Amino acid sequence: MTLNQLLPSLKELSHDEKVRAFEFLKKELEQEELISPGQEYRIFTPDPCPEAAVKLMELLERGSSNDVERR
Amino acid sequence: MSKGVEQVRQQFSYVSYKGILMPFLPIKLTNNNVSVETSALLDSGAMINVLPYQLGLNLGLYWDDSKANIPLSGNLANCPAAGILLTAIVGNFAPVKLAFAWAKTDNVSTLLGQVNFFAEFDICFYRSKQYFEIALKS
Repeated sequence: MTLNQLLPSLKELSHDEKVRAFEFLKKELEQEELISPGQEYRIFTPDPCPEAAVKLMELLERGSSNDVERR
Repeated sequence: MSKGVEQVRQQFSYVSYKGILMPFLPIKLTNNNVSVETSALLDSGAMINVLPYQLGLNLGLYWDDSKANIPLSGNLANCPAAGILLTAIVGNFAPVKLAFAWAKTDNVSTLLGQVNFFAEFDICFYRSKQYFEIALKS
């Protein structure tokens, strides 16, 4: 059955049945999603920080030893 | 875990992190004569390499607030960070120099970003096959 075949039948449903159909589909979609609702996903990437990148590139170019060695 | 032994190109398996496969790379970091083996995230969206605080201490680094001049942003905003140079060994590749922002927090993984890990290596991700491939820059 295609959606086009189904739509006329859906239109004949009562308001409560339409709400139940909507909730049914919503639940089905959530289960199909790879991203689960309520699950925490850690974002590792810091936002772009070009100034930090420039400073590290300068450090690489200088090739100097670290000035934060253990005393 | 390295699957290949060739020098030019090597394969590594994705690692499960909280049930999600992520490209964590086993890497040996050295500062002077102190070495630490760790697992670092290949993060192509990160501009820089990031080293968490405790790992820096384990490498013999000494935290000095006056040297923390690397500005971070986003989820690491307001976290002081210092620029450091480390020697890194990946798989069977020759050692390379990597610059890290040594962040004064452990609420971050070791990140390998564009400056300068992705400048030293070419990386291909094969997520559907659960491995990634690293080659020396050509």
